[in-house]
Amino acid sequence: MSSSTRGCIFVIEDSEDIRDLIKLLYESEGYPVEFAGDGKEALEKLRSFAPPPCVILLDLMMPGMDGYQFRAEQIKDSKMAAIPTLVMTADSNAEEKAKRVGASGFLRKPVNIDVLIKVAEKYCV
Amino acid sequence: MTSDKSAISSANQDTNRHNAMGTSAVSENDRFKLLVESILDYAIFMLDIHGKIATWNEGARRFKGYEANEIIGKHFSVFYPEEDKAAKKPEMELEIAQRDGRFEEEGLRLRKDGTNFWANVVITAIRDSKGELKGYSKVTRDISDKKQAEDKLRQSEERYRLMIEAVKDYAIFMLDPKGYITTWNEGARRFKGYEAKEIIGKHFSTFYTEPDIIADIPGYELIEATANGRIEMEGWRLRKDGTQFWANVVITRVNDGTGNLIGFTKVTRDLTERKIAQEKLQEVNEALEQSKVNLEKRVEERTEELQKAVRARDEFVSVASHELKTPLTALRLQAQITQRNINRGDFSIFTKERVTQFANQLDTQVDRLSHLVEDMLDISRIQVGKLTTSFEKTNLSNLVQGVVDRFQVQVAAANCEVEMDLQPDVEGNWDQFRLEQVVLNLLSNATKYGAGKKIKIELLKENDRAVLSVADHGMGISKEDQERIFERFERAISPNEVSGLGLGLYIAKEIVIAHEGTIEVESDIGKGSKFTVEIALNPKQPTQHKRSQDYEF
Repeated sequence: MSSSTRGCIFVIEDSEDIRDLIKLLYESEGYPVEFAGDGKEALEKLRSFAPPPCVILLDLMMPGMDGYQFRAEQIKDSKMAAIPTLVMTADSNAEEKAKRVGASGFLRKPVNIDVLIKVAEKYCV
Repeated sequence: MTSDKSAISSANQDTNRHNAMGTSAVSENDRFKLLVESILDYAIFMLDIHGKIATWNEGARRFKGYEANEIIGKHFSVFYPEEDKAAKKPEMELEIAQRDGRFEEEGLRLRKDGTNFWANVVITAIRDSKGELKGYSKVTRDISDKKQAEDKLRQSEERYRLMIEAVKDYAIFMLDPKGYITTWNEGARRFKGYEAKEIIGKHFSTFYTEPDIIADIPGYELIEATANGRIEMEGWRLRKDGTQFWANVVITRVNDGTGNLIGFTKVTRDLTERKIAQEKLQEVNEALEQSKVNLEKRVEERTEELQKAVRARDEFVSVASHELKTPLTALRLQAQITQRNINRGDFSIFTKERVTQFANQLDTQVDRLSHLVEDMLDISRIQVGKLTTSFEKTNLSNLVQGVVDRFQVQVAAANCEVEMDLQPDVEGNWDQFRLEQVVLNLLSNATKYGAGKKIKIELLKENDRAVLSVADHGMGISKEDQERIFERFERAISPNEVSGLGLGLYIAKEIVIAHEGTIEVESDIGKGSKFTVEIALNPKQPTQHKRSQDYEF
């Protein structure tokens, strides 16, 4: 975890390649970033974060605990629920899926790095 | 009573006088005389041995209109109509009374004024103690009223009898209290086929079928009719020739004037045609109802099938989108990060390790995309019936070995161990590329669902068939899922758990079918699955089309 007083960008994504590339991008842009491979790992890590992440990027379709189940657990905890959460999905109904899980927004896959940078600028400056 | 010259009449007068003076001295004979003379409802008088009237009483005066003084001494034939007199009927009656002691009849008699009345007449011979005929007593009663009533009743009964006998559309007959037939009509003859003379006296159970007789339906009907006055039933009844007809039967209790049971009337209608029509209608209705139910069920099933197909397709679209866009996301991020850094003139990220990693990732993602696209193309080919095969001499043992060798990395990554038992000479005419797809799919499934466990591959030849099996010790497949895993867009577990489109087994099945073969699964939850493929050694080439080549020089 970064020594910065800002919270990190927390990416929950099962594809290792995508995690590697997002890490490369955000670190080269100077944003602290943390990762989880599924919902269960994400919940465990979230409880240990201080300060909390400035934003969560959430893949919906994952093995183990998927994005939907993660959201259900996340909103049970008021502190976790307060973290802005954007779904990151290949689903053509991304907007509808985001609404369904009560997310603050969505990123459609394949995602552009401009969008990833705007997310960081909006939530983590 | 007026005085008379006759001795008996004089005696009467004496008696009256005595009576007026006191009864103490009245003889027994006198008392009888008084009694007889005072009777109003019967004409009671004496005839001498020749039939001449000797006494007269009040009843005789009233019925016949003669006073004693004008009739005593006359022959009693004055009361008879001319034709009876001509026939010597009065004399015959006296002869009978003399011979038998008594004569009784009912017949027409004349009054003084010439009118008729219907009389009951009893003539009794009177003899003295020596048996010598002394005369006759004659007792006559006017029964005109009774006679008239009887006539009316008889006429009425006769009319009813004729009417009932003539009725053709109803069998109407009577039973005695025990159920024996006492009358018969035309309708009964027509329905049941018996003539009156052959059925009267028989029991009405003759008309009942054997099961009804065993159940004592006839007895029950009489008990009910006796108790409740009436019973109405419908049922099959027998004709004389043994055929059956559907009868509506009403049995009614018949009482005498004092309420005692004297028998039953039985009215039967033949409703066979109505019954048959009803039964046909019911059959038609039932058939209609059944076909309606079947149709509804069929529509329900079809709707459910369609809904399932739509759900499966929607899920496939979602899974396909995810599967295709995941490698695309990685590729886009690589490209854009590279561009961004080059545009900024920052080359620091392009270390040897980074570039090597990028190159490997690129190749992997392209490979993955390429397989996904190929699967989807296969699906569309199968859908339009154009799964192309190109058969050539192939050694299946070598083919299986080759696939396992090439898949070694993935097997190792899944912590699996492959044990092989391959009969070496399993050769046939097959499409190598397609069979590799099948083996790869089965092996890939075994590593996905049975990670960390042993995989066993067996190959052998049985007659003109090659039999290949791939067994894992993974999670296993439920009986219900075993039926659908070979369908398009189906997989046993949630698409999130394992990557892929869920098309593999469907494509494998289609390939096996093109090789005149079968693919089956045996599985137990928690113990693992065994897929067995059986193909003909020399299947018929289904199409002449060659599969599109990867390259050509």
